[in-house]
Amino acid sequence: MTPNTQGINSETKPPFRKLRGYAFDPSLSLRLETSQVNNIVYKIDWEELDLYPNTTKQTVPAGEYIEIIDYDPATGVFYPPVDLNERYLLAQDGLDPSVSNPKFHQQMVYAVLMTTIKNFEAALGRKVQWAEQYIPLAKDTNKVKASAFVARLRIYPHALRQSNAYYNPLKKSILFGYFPAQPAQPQLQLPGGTVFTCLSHDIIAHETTHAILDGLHRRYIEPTHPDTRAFHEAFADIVALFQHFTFPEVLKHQIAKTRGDLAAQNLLGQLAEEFGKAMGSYGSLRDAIGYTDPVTKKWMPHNPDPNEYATKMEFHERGAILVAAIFDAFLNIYKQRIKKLLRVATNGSGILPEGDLHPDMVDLLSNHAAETASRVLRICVRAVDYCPPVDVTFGDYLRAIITADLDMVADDEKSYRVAFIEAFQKRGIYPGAVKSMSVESLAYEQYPELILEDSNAEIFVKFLRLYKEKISYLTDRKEIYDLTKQFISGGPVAQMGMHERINIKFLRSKSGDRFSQLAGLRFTGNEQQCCKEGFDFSKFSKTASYSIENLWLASRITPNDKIVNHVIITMGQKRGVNAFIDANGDFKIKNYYQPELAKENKAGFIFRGGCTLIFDLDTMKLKYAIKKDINDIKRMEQQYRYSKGMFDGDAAFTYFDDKTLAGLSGPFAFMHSHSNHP
Amino acid sequence: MSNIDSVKIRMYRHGFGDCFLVRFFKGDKLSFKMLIDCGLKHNDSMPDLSIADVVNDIKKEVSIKRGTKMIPHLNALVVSHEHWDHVSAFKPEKKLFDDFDIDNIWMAWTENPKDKIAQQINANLKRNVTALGVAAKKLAKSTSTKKRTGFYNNSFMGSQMLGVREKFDSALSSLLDFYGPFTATSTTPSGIKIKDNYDISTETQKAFDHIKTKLAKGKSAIKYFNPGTLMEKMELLPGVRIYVMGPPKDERLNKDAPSSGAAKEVYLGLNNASMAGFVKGVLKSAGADQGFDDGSPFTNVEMITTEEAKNYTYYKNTYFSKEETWRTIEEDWLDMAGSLALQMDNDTNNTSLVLAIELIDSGKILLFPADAQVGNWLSWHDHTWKVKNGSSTKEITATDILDKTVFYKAGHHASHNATLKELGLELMKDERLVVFIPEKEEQYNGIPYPELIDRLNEQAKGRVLFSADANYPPEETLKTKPAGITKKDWDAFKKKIVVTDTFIEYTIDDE
Repeated sequence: MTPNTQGINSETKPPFRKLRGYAFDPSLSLRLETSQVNNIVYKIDWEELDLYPNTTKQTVPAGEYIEIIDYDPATGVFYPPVDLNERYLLAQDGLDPSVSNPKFHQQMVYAVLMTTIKNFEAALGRKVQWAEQYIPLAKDTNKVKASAFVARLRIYPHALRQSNAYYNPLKKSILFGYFPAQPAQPQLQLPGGTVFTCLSHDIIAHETTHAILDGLHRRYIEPTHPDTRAFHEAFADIVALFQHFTFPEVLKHQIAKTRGDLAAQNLLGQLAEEFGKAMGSYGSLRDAIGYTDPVTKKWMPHNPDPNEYATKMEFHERGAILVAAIFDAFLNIYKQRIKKLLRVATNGSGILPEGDLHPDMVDLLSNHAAETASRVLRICVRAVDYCPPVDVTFGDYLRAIITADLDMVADDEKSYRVAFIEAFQKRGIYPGAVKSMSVESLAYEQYPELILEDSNAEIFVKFLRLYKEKISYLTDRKEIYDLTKQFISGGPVAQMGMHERINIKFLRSKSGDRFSQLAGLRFTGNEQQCCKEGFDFSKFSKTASYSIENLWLASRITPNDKIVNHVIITMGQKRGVNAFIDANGDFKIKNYYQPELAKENKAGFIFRGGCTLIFDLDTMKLKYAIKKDINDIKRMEQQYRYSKGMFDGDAAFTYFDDKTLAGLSGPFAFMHSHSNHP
Repeated sequence: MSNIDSVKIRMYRHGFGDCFLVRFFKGDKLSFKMLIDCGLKHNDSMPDLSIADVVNDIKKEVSIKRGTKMIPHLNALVVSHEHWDHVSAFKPEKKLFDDFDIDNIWMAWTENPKDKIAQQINANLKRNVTALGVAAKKLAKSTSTKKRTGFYNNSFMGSQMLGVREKFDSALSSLLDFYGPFTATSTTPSGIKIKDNYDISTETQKAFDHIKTKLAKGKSAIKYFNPGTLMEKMELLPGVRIYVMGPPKDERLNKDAPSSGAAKEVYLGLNNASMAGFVKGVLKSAGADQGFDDGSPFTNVEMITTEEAKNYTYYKNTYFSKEETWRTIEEDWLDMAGSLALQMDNDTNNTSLVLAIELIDSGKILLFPADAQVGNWLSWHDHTWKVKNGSSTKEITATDILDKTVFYKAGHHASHNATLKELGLELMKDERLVVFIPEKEEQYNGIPYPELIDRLNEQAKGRVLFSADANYPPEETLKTKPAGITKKDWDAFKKKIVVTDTFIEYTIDDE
């Protein structure tokens, strides 16, 4: 390495790539008061980009995680790729934000996607991986022959002509749409101008989150409970919203407008709603936060209704409850944090003197808000690791938030956890099987006894430590993927894989029953019995077949600088159920069938169980077992009734049923596209 | 002068479609003959009853002697809206009504060629139907190409995807069927047949034009009705008032479902704009110079056409790479056609002319909402009708009308969103309510809507009769007395019902 004449090492890569982009939606650039705050600079970790074929310097927007291909099939053209390494472009933090330059669109999409990915990685303590691609058996395309690593998510910034964008899990792609503006408020968008969904921070972050969540828990796209689809939507919106709030520049403008009662802080809620408005139908997820009074034109927070969760079933409305709950928690935490500041600024009265807020105060407040948002974002993301792998409910999510936070911050002196619990409680979201809404009962039981023979326990945890050792220095996502596969199924480095070890150390040991109970799975050893109980039989495990869906290392640094080393394993199992509702309206199970024989059991349904096992590498013990029991008849009933009644009130049902629409482009395609239909 | 004292409502049983003959009597004397719609869904038929048979039956009942000839005669022909299952019998080639003498033709204001809003609605509809036809054909073509090249065999869940795809394609074309068979004359470079200038006409429009130009002759006149209109003191309908309740003349026209969630109040906002962009895109892709911004969302930027791109190494290695075919997005944008079709269908249903016919002496009301959907229903409550009772004037509201409804023609073949709940069915409190449902099984997923049928049966105490649904044969329904009704009422009802293979007829006395 030779230092060049500039005094910097030419081999040293810059830590960041700075790219300008819209903070809001371009429509807000047209409003004078917001125009100055609309452009922000996204700071993204530097990465090498692919070179344009046969060139040495020119790059295309394709890096470690994503590749942007700007194809517009409706128009029948490609828009050439932006070269983000172009030197003039580097010198001025990327292209000028512009609606009319497709290369800037690519830059914007790149900037927000990468920001979202990095936020996830910071919270999860590991690399983001996309959901695998399945390669089918030629004879039966419903069966997986092999699964393949997906290196890059494919991004199409101009794929659709509609006010919609979606993540397509079959294509591992995000498709963005554009449409002519015909705005509700004509002053905001040029009538006849074009609105591009790929220029909205919140829409990009929202769709990216769908893709990331799909990579974490692939069963979450199955609508088994009124909460599952709502959760996917709400979670995506929560990430978009709080990521947006982590930019203090965005908040400053709004906070500077504060007058009078500073503690009310309605401005932030209003801001959340305003971002939402710019997103069209996406905005409905923020409806439960608050509303603008039609008479006074003042923004008012919604008073949460404890019956909301029990009564609202449409998944946008339901998702909105979760978004509002998290936002409520955020506001309360923020208010708590700025209490002292307010006392100083108002001489203890809480009421501001007339006139503009002091600019330093504006800075302080916006920084606090941005920090709080960033904390809440991390809490929300991390909690996903503590969720069961199937059939997730809002209650499960609350328990996950509390447990995850407990692992990171032992004493809750800032009352974050209480803020979350209160916000959920106010909306009637109670997890099942919990005795009270206290932190102690909501947090999952720590260190449940596995009753393993010592040698087994040691061997197993040693194996996990080996996994940690081998994986923690890998940075290449393909290598991480391959090695993880090896640790699940066996291979030269791992030798015996996790699957086999579970078979030997747990299932076929004395603690088999206890493990089955903790995991909520059934390991029937007899082939005929399996048939009766509705499980496929695995010749490999010699038990009812089960899968290991994920193996993750989570290395996280707590706010107190402690390092938490966890290995997370998620397991899943499925069984076929034939059920009916009898004359008394009671749920009855007729029989079970093997999922392999789904074709002969068209009237039946597939019921899944699963568990998330979190091992603590420091104590060498199983720390949590978070399960959805495969034997839970009540859950079967819930799923059955839900799937029977789920079409109620859906206009599209008359011609296209739910499966048709979802089957075309995946479940996310029509979540935002139902133009006139609830 | 005596008043009308009985009305006979005849519902024909020719399949999925509406045809109602309503005859008003003074004692034994037939005073007024009204026909409401006459249509059958495309590709539907009953084995022993064609639409021509239906028209022949009508002729039998309405012919009058003119000189030596018997001439079929209607006092009023009501054409509710532009859907094939309501107008197919008026198709010009069929000539089924050409020898009819029709005094009045009643249509909704949305059909008025002089109405500015109506012009816009119809122009939009035309474009949309064209675009839908183009999109449907493109999608069908791509499905068969992908099938041939083995795309589905090589994709995970491919066989299921193909099933879904084929179902979607066929659902699209069945929605197009509402506008009648798709006619086309010329072929565009991309192989799609459309008429020049995109001035395609659907068979529905031809049928409508036929009514307007050919059937409206002699002394007959077309009347276009605005909601809120009251017809009374008609020479041949003494003792009868007709309230025009819909279609609405405001934004509710576009509203087809209750607002909630994602749909909240966006029905005239972004999403319609979104549709417009899609429609233009489709037409442009079929060769029309109609795309917004000249077919591209950008001006003065570098673009590489798909054909050119195939020669670029960059695109060869990425988008066109053989390993990556599973990620291509050629037709994804066209799936929007599903939403477009639904919206058009709902919008057209909402242009339904809705009539409530009152027999003044008894106050009984017969309600014919055609295929009106939520927005249309909601708008009824925006109006009041001033009626004179002796010397006093009374303002009649939609609630009053629903309260006195004793006969209800189920909206839109008893689908889920064409009978409003709180502001509709729940207000129909009359003990004597009878419901007729013109509908046939297995024509559309979700029609009839089971929950609605249950509620209708509760409200009407089991007096619910279907025209052509094999799951609900009226002969069977009439055999056993439902639990919720007294024997006396049930017997009285049965006495007033005539069921033949051709029709079901109900007689209402003004008492």
